[in-house]
Amino acid sequence: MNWINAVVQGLLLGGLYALFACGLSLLFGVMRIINLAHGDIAVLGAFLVWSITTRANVSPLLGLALALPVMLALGYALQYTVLARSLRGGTLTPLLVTFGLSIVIQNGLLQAYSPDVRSLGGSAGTLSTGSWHLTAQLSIPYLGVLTLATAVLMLGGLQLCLRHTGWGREMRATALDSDTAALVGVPASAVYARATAIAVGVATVAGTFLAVHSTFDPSSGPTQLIFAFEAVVIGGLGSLWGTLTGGIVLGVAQTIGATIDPQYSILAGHLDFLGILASPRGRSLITRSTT
Amino acid sequence: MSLLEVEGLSARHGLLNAVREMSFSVADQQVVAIVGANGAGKTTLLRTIAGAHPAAGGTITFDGLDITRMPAHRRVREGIALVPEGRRLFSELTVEENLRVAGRRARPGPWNVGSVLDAFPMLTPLRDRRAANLSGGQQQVTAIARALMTNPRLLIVDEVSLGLSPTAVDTVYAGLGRLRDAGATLILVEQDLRRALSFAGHVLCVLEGRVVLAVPAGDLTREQVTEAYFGLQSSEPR
Repeated sequence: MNWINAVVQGLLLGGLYALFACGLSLLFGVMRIINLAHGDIAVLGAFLVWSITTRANVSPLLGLALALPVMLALGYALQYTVLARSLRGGTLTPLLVTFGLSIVIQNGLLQAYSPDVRSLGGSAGTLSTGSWHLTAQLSIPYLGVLTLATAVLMLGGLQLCLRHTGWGREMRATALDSDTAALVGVPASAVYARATAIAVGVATVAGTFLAVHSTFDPSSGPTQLIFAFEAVVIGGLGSLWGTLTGGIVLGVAQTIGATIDPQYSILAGHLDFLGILASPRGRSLITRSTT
Repeated sequence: MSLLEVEGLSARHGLLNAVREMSFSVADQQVVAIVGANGAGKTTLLRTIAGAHPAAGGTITFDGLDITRMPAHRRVREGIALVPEGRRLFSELTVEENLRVAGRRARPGPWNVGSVLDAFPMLTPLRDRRAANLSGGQQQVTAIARALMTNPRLLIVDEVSLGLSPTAVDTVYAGLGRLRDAGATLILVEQDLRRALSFAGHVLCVLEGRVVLAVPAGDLTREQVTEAYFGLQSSEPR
């Protein structure tokens, strides 16, 4: 029963990792950028939601709904002001630029909010504490189910949009060959701006769920970035369904590790990631990106 | 008035001057074939007209509008479509998706997925096939169809028959012939001189980045072209 519990909790935790990984996966797939500020953008979103929630005394979910338009606009602005310029500088420049952006966000948050550890769990009420008790040893938390459901809806919805809508086709075409896309009338910068806005928006959702699920502070971003990056690689680059699977695999690996011994929790996740990298599929991934 | 006016146009690849002060014009409904040896600057010229390559000097005027500095996607809105060398289809997308991507921001006009498939019936059974799984001829027809989806006033086709089987070349030219007869304005790059001379109304010979000969195709002998092609006539004014 312990093991079943571990797998169930891992599935639910995996939803959170998949949410974090979604934006990272999208930006890599469409713009070939590894956004090192992704975790910090999520934490920035969480702070914005925290501010709205505590000032207006509303539930975190309402706070998230109010914060999302701001963060989507920020995503657009991020592409037009920072990423578009850095993309013109070659493949290494965006990596350095987003690394710098990560430091700027962390220090900005430190300045504005102090290093105090915060949580939105308190203002979420029964959502963060309640659960369905199935048996004495197996209970399913509301929040976990909501997180996983949100992840499935967001990643699945995004995948369906990419496949079946006009702007989705434009995004895939631009990802494959942005120069040729311009020759059929598709401006790459507008497509990139849309992708960045979506990535920042989903990161905000992920940051909010993290804030309700546990705690966060200005330096929480890099840890989430590592989990997100592992989920993307485990699931396979450039596939959103793969990213969802990757997040779940990582979550289950961590909870099973924790069942063996609590100190193995994070380590089990990393080992899982390294195992994938060393496997034939991981090797093909590396050779593909170098050719 | 001419639809496309190129004046003193230069374009570079690093230090290499691929296009050197070229001047020519293309009238509405004219069909122009550009011929010349490999490395003469034909592809760079076409990419510069379409906005995929920056101009280093000179002007490109399209229907009275100076488009020299206009980004490629806006030139498409003005009515210039380039079928690039090597087709450059979106390989992971299906034939129909390739068409729809081009149609999404198209100018208003007669071409849509239905009319393009009517004009190129061979594409109808292939519409759900991924572009990567098409033969060379099928890819070229799809690339031309994709360019048409933008409702161009000027269709530019680079290397029409390069890498295609003789039958595929016939198919592609049959399609282009229908466009020509319907009054389209076309610029083609063609390695096959016989094809170029019989299909086009005008021929532009390019040598080392310069236009060395621009005449109606009817007035032209193979010998004249060959001379211009290889630069045998050193007295030719440049």
